[in-house]
Amino acid sequence: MDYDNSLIKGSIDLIILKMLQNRSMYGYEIIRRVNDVTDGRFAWKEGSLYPALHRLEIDKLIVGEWQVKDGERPRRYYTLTRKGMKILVVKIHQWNEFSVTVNSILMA
Amino acid sequence: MNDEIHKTSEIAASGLKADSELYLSVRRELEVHLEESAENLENSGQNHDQAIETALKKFGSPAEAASDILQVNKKRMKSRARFRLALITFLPLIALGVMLVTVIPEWEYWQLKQEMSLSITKELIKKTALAAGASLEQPTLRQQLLLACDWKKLHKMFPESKEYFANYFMSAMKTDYWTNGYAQQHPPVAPKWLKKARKTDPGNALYDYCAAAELLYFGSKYRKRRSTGAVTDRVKLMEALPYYLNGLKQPFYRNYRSEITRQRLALNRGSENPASELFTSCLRCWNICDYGITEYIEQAIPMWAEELIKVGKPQQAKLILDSWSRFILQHGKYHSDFYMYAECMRMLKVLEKKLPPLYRKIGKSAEAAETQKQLSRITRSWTRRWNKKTPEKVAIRQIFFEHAPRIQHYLGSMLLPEEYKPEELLPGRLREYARADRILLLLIEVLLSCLMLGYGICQLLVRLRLKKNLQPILFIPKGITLLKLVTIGIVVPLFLWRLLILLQPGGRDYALTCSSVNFLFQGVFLILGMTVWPMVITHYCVENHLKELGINVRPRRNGIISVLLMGFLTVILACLPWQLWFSVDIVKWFEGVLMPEMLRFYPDLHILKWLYPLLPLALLAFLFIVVKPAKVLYNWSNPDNLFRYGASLAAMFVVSAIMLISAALLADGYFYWREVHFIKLNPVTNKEGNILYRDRIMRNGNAELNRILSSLQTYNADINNIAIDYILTDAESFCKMIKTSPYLALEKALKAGANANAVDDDKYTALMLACRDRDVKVVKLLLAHGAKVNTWCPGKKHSPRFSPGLSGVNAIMIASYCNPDPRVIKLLIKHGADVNSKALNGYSRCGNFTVLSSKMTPLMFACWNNSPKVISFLLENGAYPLAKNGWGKNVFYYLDKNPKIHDDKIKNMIEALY
Repeated sequence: MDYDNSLIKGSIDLIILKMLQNRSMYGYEIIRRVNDVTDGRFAWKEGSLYPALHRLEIDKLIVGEWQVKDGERPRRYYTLTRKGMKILVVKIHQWNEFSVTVNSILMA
Repeated sequence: MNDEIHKTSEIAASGLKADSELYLSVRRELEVHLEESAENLENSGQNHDQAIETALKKFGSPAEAASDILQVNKKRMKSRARFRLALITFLPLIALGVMLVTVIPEWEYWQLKQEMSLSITKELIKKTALAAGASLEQPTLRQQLLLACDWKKLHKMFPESKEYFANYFMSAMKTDYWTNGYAQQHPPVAPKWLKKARKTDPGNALYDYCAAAELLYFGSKYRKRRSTGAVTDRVKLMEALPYYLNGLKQPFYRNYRSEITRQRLALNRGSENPASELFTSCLRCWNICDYGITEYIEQAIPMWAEELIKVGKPQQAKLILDSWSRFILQHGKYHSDFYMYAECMRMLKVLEKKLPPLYRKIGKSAEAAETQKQLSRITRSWTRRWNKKTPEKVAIRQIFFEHAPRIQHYLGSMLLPEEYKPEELLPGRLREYARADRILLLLIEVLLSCLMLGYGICQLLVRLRLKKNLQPILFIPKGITLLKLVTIGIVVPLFLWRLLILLQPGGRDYALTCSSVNFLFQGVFLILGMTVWPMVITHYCVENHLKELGINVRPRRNGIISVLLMGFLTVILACLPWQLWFSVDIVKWFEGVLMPEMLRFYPDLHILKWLYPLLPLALLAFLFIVVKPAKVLYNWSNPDNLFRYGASLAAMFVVSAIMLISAALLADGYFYWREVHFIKLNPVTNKEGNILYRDRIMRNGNAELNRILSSLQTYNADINNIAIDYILTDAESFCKMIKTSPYLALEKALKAGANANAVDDDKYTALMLACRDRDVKVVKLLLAHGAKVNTWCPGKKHSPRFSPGLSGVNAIMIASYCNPDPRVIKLLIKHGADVNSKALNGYSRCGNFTVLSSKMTPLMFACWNNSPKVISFLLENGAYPLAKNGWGKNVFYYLDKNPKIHDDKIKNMIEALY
């Protein structure tokens, strides 16, 4: 099922931060991981990932660094910063509140 | 790499091209993404092309991505550009600071002569004036008198200087003779020298200049110069050298005199002995330590010797060389005076260098060795004596210590006392720092140079790796930033360190002793290392890399332009080391030439100096407001536009040159503000400014100082309270006044009580000189002030050197000889002059002849040289035409010799009287 673009755009920061919560990832890996988790239901344009990554990097929520791992090509890995972690917690809380609120409206 | 992927990544990252590092990084990231995506799809069973197509499809529209990426990164790009701007702006500024610290010592070197001569002159003047008993009281009154030029009062206060005025006046009169008469006889050379002489004082220095002109004239224009001959054979002149250098005047004199008589040599205004005069001039010039003349001798003698060897006269050559060395050894004695000592040492060294090879040329190796030995011994002895302590020397040495760095720069370390240590100039604890600083400085210089080079090389390597697609971007930020930080970390403390030392008392002197050349190169390294060098490398490598990636940053149509651009870049690189010199030269020209010239006409421009410190600020404001370097710098890293890139480099060159010039001006303004007047710009100064004048003081040493001192004593100027420049300038203006208006000067002097019967070196009285110069007004004035009419100057074996060239004569004889105006003779007769008086036993010169003039009468002198009008006047006033001279000749003999008389009227008249 394809979601509305505006819904994806609104939640992309949260998704990226969440993906990076446990470990550093590079752009393509984030997409793959999201696809795995959502069984491909979250079909977004990959090109829109990078502006989001850059925005988060500029806001210092994540930090990007070129790394070369054994036998692999050099990739730009993104890691969650302390600030990013705090924001992630806030965002998750907001999302939960928001979804509960929206659900309550929808159930009314 | 697949073209589609490449194209997509390029489009997606295209918005970031202004920031090349970001652009490359993002683009590479997108490429990696697309490649991996395609690989995964390929692994899942799709073929290659299909996989790429699907990957691109999944990626979405690259244009949209580009728009989003640009939108997001705009802020980052701006901040990065700002950082770069700051880096590029402040690093050169820091470098500029270091350069400024470097420029200050350079600046002082430039001012070396002025400052050194000024300080030393002041000291010496003070000492000598005090030793001579000059009173330094009542400065205000004397200053006022000096300003008002009230001679009468000055004379009343200082009666001992009466004589001086008369002598000065006569000197002035001689000046007129020299400038008018001599220049006519020596048109090719004399004007230049006399022009120089006119600018100086009319005293003794003038004669030396004239003698120098002669010397130069004979040296360079020895061939025929007049129809009558002069010296046609240079060898003869050269042969004359040894005799005169040996002081063997008499035997040579006889030989040469007959030679002259035979050949009718007419040198030196009819002098019978040109070589004698030549070398007298030479010696005189040498004695006043005139560098130009001694240098001439040093060049001329070896040249003549070589010429003699060529024409097969080695014996004469040897005589010349012998004489030269003996002459130097005899006359170049040890002097405790600094300048003389320095000059003698210099001459010794020249002799040591030039003489032995010439001796060897004529096969006299033994003499060569002997001379060398002797010279070394004398050098050692002089040095030992110079280093020996006496109270005077200790005092002088004190001055040396004060000026040691400058002296060292100017004359080398040869003349400095052995115990001179620059560290001692610094106070207390700073000495320790300074010692460490010497080592530190060296280390820092080496380290900085290595860092700068390393920075460039690192960038080069990085870019080369980039070219090979080895992803060196990974360590670009870390490596380069680290290097930049380390560099700043070293440059700033260095700058502060130097500043700290410079600001201490004695710090500037200490800084002078450090190698400024090293600093200069360090500065060049800094500029090159921080700006041009990495930029060029980056540009080159990025361009290559982009080319590799298929991005054509240099279209073919720009081929010629890029070649021109590279040429321009090369010129810039080559010019950078000269930027400093260039900027200093500009300021030097502005300060030393243009400004004094302008001040002569517009004295109020002096105020401009106060505006100097504002000038750099104004320039910077102009740059930032009008040129907007930020915009230019922002585009530096965009290799797409080669024109803009080149323009930014050119702008950088211009900006750095302007900043350096500004720094130099700022330094000058600063020193002016601190009242360290390196160049005292005085509107009343002589044409070439005080620089030349002080040069002369330095060169002539005590002779010049004595002259100044005598004038100081005359004015009784208070050297402690009047600026030295003022005194010098005023002395000059006084001389000028005497030169231009001798009558007024004399009138003042005589009214103030100057001796009207004062005599000059040739024992001519002031009246005689006035008669010679046909100045009725002056004659009248002198007679009114008690000048004696019937006074004879002594008869001489040689005719006097200077005009009128008569010896054993009185005023009326001179008037009869020189003056076509009978009014002077009339005046003299009125005051009791005897028209039949007879000359004393001696020789006199007329034109090309020198004859025995004993018992000559005024009439004979008139017949010899003067006009029929004067002869008639003398005869009318009772001159006796039958008188005979010391060797039995009467007036007819002289009439025959007189070229002015072409008819027989006078003869007939005299015969009628007879």
